[in-house]
Amino acid sequence: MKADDDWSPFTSRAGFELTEFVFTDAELSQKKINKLLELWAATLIPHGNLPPITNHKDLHRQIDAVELNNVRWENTCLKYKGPLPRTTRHPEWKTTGYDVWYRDPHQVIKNILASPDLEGHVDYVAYQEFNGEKRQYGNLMSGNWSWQQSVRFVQRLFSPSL
Amino acid sequence: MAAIRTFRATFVFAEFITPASQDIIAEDLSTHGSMFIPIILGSDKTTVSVATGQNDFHPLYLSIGNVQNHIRRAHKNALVLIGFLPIPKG
Repeated sequence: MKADDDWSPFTSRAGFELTEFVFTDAELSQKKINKLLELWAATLIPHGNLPPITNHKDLHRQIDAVELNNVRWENTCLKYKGPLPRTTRHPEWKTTGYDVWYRDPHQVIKNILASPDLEGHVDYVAYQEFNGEKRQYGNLMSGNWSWQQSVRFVQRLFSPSL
Repeated sequence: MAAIRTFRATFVFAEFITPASQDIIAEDLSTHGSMFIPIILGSDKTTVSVATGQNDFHPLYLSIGNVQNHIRRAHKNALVLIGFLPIPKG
């Protein structure tokens, strides 16, 4: 957990609230964001100071640096590498490169498990639930499949040595 | 990067299939002491146009079986968008 006064990657609380206001609430264009920040800077420069955000690029950089529940988007290009028919016209997809956008699933899963909002609503182990004698099925971890996958019975012989 | 419509996940799991022993994770001793995390992947027919324009993509979502059902359906952090799969044109 972060400290209450830790607004990183934003420079300050004002920086965070400014970002939220221009980006999420007002949805200002990049041009308007730059204009606003230039005016803001003009009032601060005589006092040897700068606004919490320099321009729209700086704003996007700060947003992209947010770590909470954020996993970087990565991109790769996939292309068919198999044989092409010599005689007939080949379909377009055989020669086109396709962008695949993805995020590291391992990191995404870690974030889900670390999410404070889900506290108390995560089953860490498989379980069996009964209503009297009757088995109750509810969440995935209460099912037979989860139980079989994660429980292994070891048979031990009781052999008292005399 | 793209406008995604609200996605509600429901899934069905079969109780009657008994996996063969080589498909049971607990039979692999090197997994003992680890947490069992079933991965749930989903996609749908909705295509999204990403800002760059030309291509349509299928969104790919991930959740884990450890999250209780009522939360997975209700909470945005329990179902995460992890990919955009391009749709090739014929």
